[in-house]
Amino acid sequence: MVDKEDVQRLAELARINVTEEEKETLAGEMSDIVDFVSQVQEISGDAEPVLEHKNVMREDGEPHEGGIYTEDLLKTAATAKGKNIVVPKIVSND
Amino acid sequence: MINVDDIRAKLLSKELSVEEVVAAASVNAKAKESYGAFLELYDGLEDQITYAQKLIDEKGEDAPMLCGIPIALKDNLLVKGETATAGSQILKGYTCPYDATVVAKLREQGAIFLGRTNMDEFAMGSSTEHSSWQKTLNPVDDTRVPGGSSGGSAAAVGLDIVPIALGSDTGGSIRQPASFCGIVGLKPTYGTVSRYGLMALGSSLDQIGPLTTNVRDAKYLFDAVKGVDIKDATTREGNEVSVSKKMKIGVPRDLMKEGVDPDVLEHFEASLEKLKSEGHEIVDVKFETAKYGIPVYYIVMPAEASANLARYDGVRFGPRVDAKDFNDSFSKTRTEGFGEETRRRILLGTYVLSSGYIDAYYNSAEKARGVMRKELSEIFEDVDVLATPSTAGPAFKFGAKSDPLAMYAQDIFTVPANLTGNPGISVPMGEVERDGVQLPVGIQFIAPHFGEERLFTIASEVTGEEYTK
Repeated sequence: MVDKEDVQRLAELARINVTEEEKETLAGEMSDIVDFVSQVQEISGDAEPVLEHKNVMREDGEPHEGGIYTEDLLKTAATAKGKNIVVPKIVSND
Repeated sequence: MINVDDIRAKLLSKELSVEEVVAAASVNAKAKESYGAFLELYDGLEDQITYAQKLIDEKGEDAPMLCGIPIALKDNLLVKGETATAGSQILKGYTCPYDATVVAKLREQGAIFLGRTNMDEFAMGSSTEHSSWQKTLNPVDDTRVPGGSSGGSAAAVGLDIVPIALGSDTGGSIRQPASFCGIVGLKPTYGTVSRYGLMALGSSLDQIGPLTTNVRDAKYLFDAVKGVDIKDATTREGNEVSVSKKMKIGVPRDLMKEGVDPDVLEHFEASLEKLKSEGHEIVDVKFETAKYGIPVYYIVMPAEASANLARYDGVRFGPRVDAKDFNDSFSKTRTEGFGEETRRRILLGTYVLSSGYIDAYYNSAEKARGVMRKELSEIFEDVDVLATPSTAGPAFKFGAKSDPLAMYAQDIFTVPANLTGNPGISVPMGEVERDGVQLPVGIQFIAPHFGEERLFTIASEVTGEEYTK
């Protein structure tokens, strides 16, 4: 069961704004989905590890020339100044 | 339908130039624009065309198989200098700073990138209706969806605009639209194709793969993009899987007892009969955990998606909504940028990962996934491949699956292979009539890890193609 308060809390954690109306709808839909997926708790038995992958390391050498990607990457940012990405104020006074 | 072998023969014999092949595809794409398969046809293909023509002129038969062949790319693959949005407003105007590994490989081999194709936002959906840009119509019946999330790529191939396209498959996003559009779709073994430069949905599930008009082309495209990549630590080499001429095909009939359209089942049984008459053995198998596939998937995928999509904060990519401070701007950007389904899945993922619920949901799902993987590897000790219908029915009408759970049920036959990392292929097995229209439906085969060759072999017997490794 997911209620409107849960939706509000999750939305805050996920940095998404939801209106009162959306909270109502989402609480209903998410309750249905959560009910449905609860079936996974019925499964028992031996498990095989899902991932057989290992951490893959590379030699720590031969770095690429510094700054060759900077310009392209800065271009994708909403706002940049010089070699920096500009963001809204993080710490607010109120 | 057009195919790679035919186009290649004409390129090699100089009956057609690369420029002519690409021009024909562009004209066709523009003529069929109303289907909405492409979000954009790329400009400035001259360099690629010149490069491919030079390779063909110099190397002839030794030119790479896909040299000079036009290909469509799903909108979640990065092509340096071009736009890519994963179907989302949050990436409006995003210009890719580099090539995805699959794109770099195809570029080197002289394939020509015709354009980027429509998709459900961040690949979340089974009908392409969740694209924030446009609808894509089914090539066979324009009142129906093409499937999804790789609906644009499937439609581009189904409309005969390009012979080959790349899609990505997290829970069926290549195989289901292939089934709906009457074409071939392969989800390779997890780890065979690099995901570097693919916008992530569920990182332990996503795999890039081909959508093509025939099995041989699926093999060509798979061979062209696969391989270990230092930039994707999950790529790996597998042991070769043997391919016998006469296979033992396991059929998990328990899974098909309800919810599958009767005429789809008829075609499925007829395809199995045909394979039996060709000397293959058909046996019933129990795949008991498969029925938990959808609930497991709808925990794991939203969990991974909620983490992957945290990066869309309006700082590093896409437009930003400015507000009084960073957090406010962060939330407003995401609220405006993400569509309804994306927001729903992010919230769901946040829920199943939150401290009070992680054991009940996410950890249980991961455990269940391990049990499923074990059961499936035991099944493959006895049979060569598994067979199921690819989908429970043919393409549905727009708006027919507005309830999220109804849309999620679309993936019943396809999700297990993503959860366990196994390869799966969908090929056309016949047509069923709905409202007086003949609609294609597909049969799916699943093989052990790295058993793609088995899939190509058995699938080509269904389509009646000549196929040799």
